[in-house]
Amino acid sequence: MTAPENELRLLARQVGLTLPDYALPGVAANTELLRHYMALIEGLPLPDDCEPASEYSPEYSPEGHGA
Amino acid sequence: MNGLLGNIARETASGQRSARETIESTLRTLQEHDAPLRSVTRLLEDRALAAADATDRAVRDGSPTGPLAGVPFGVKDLFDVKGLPTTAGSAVLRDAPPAARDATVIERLCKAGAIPVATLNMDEFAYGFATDNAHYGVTRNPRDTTRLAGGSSGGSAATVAAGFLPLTLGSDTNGSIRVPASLCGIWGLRPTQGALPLTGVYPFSASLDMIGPFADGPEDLRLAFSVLSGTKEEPPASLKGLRVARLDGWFRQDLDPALEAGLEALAAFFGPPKTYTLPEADRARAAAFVITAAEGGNLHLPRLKTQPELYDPATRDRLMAGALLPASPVIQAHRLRRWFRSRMHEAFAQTDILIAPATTGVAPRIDEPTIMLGGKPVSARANLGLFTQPLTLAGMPVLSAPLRTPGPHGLPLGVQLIARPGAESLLFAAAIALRDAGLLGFTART
Repeated sequence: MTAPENELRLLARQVGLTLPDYALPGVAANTELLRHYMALIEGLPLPDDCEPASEYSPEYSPEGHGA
Repeated sequence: MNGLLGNIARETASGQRSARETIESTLRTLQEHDAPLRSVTRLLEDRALAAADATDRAVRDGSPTGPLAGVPFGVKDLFDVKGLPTTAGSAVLRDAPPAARDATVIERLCKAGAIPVATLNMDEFAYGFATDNAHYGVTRNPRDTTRLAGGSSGGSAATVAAGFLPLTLGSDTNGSIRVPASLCGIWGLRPTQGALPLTGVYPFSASLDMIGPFADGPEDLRLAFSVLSGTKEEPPASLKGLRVARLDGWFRQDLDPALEAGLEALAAFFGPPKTYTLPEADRARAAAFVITAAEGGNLHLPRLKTQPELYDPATRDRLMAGALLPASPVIQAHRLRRWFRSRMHEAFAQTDILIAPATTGVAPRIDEPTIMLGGKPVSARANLGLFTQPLTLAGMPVLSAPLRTPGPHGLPLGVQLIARPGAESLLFAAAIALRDAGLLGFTART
């Protein structure tokens, strides 16, 4: 087993996922691609007051919101 | 100029044509001619014919009919259709319980008189730009069946381009309306983020998901959007003094020469051509990519743990990689989204409409599914969203339109018109003006 595969299996264990052998090459390739994009994102310094754009509102509905 | 949808509705309402004839003809066309394209996954024959008969009865009784009376339409396979499982193009959900009701936007179209006739092929769980589906086949481009239709809403684009349907619905998380519209030479709209309800639409990446219509002209998009959004169709926006700029920098790379010439002509139509540089478009694309992977991976993690073998291998591996992403870059991507929105607002302080390519060139071949970036062939499935993904992140409304002048092999080329949030009417007006000037509107027919 290669080091990247070991690393992927460890990451998968953190979320309770067992990586099947047949998926490892594809997951590894996609992880490399995502790391490239992560580096791009982290290469742009942002001011501390630039908050995440996640949306949330405590709006109330007696019927709930489907979850 | 009247749109096709309005004409069908007027002729149906006046009794010039019966809805049953329209629907029977549409179903027959799909049954006899779709097999080579693989754009349809299910026909809604019984429901469609019953709805057609109800429409004809209403006309005979003198009851009011809606603005889309008798208009047949199809939906991407991720919209809830009452009584059917919503598969999202997967085998994993093939045996899901049938939907208890239609997606809200389908209900709105039906209330306006339109009639759903088919569900349409897509990339599994909307994760791709190719509509290369391991379970339902590759949707082929009606302009050249050796080429991709694009995705992930490929079935929705192909049925309109083939002339099978005048109206379809798709979803666009990273470009899944704009890419196939571009490759198939038709018109599509990704409305302002949040402008349409997503109730009854199977999610992909909740932060970025959006839905919208495909049609054969800008008037049809305008009418469909007014019905879908539950708003009155606005009168044409004034184009007097319209400030238009072409996006450069990131949005100039690797363009087909015919597309480059077409973009120049569009930018010059409204006055001396101007350009605008959106900063950090590559990082905006990266943020959209990471948010999509993380949210898609999280959504599917329970099934990836128990049924990985039921997924299309390419989709499965992408989703698994997304599920493994650490939190920090995902949060950073959301912070970058807020930063990039401010840059877009700055752009719209100086301009009213931005123009950009939708893809780098014409549809890739199915047996060679790559595009050239920086002189190297790269996967079309992963990279056709080069120019759509950065704009996705900001959530502004984008109209995808075909150039009148074809590209290599006589195939269509597509552009994006982008406006500030809520300014869809401006996009429709500009698109109509550019179409009337002979710059937009692919005319070849299959």
